[in-house]
Amino acid sequence: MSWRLATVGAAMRLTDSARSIRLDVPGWPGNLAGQHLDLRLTAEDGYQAVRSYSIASAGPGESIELGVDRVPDGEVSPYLVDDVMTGDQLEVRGPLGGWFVWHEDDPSPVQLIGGGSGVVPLIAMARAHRAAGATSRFRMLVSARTPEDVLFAPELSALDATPGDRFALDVVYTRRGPEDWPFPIGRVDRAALERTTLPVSDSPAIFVCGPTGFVETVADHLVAIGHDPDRIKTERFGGA
Amino acid sequence: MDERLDGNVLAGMLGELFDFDATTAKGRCRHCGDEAVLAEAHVIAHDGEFVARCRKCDAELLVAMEHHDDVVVSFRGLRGLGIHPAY
Ligand SMILES: Cc1cc2nc3c(=O)[nH]c(=O)nc-3n(C[C@H](O)[C@H](O)[C@H](O)COP(=O)(O)OP(=O)(O)OC[C@H]3O[C@@H](n4cnc5c(N)ncnc54)[C@H](O)[C@@H]3O)c2cc1C
Ligand SMILES: [Zn+2]
Repeated sequence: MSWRLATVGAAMRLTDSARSIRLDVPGWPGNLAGQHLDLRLTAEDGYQAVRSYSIASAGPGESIELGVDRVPDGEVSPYLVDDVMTGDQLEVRGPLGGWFVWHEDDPSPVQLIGGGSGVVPLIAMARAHRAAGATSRFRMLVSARTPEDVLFAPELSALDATPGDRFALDVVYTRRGPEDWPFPIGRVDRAALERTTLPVSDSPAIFVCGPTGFVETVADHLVAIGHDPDRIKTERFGGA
Repeated sequence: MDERLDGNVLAGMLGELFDFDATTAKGRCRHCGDEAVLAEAHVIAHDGEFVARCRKCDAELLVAMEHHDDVVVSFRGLRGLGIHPAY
């Protein structure tokens, strides 16, 4: 494993606080859906900062996509969300992690649960699922503050609107929902999970990702509902 | 500030030492005997130092540090680390 030089190919706003960043990485060997990379920035005085970022894209190719949400006062994320420009260079190491990964030959139904930027590795799985023409059932639950805070919202809605039941999207809003939203506003709790996720009887493979507190609360509820802990894979992004 | 993460975050550092993905290797806790892939360990990150703890008993499993191109990992809390392709 070694650091590779990456060039920013494009940066596109996803929400008020998040940006999609396309990186061109010569020599990138492709990646599985759900993997991440380490990104390293070096200041002029030699100071270095390393952070992990999930990869929103999957499959072969030397062009990859990240989705970065700004952590106010953070060292790295405000730079990526607000400052980085096409043509800028940074270092990446990867692809990383073989555990929080969806394999396209897995026939199980899949439940994806993402909070905030936790959507990033999950959209890679949804994209890979679609690209493979897989017939397994995918259901995705996103927790977001408001309708304007859902990363990749247009693409997720389009997947959801595709005829057939291969992909279904649910959103739980923690601060404000769309007008006339019939469901409770607030954190994902047991009732929200029971309403929006695949039942225990489907024995789904479950991927939970996002802020550490979110991931742990959701995983605890899933076990309480009766899901087998061995079917639940988690990835903690840190923070609250 | 301490950042609470999990073993997934160790993949890059361990990848500097091993040419396989060690986060999918199963480790056995020296303290309670729990067996889990490293990805499932609880990890506390502080200033470039990563302490992985047992998800069951919270005992320390390993400490990993990275500074520039130096990576140092101590596996003192693991009774074993093994690859099980079927897992
Ligand atoms: C495996 C993995 C994958 C990740 N993938 C993504 C991704 O796809 N997109 C993405 O936006 N982020 C992702 N993260 C989080 C990312 O690595 C950084 O932690 C985040 O960008 C903050 O870095 P920073 O340098 O801006 O903040 P720092 O300077 O590190 O922290 C500043 C303050 O913010 C708090 N903080 C740190 N991280 C978070 C967080 N995630 N949420 C809330 N508060 C935080 C800290 O406790 C600290 O008080 C991932 C993390 C891991 C471990
Ligand atoms: Zn233990």
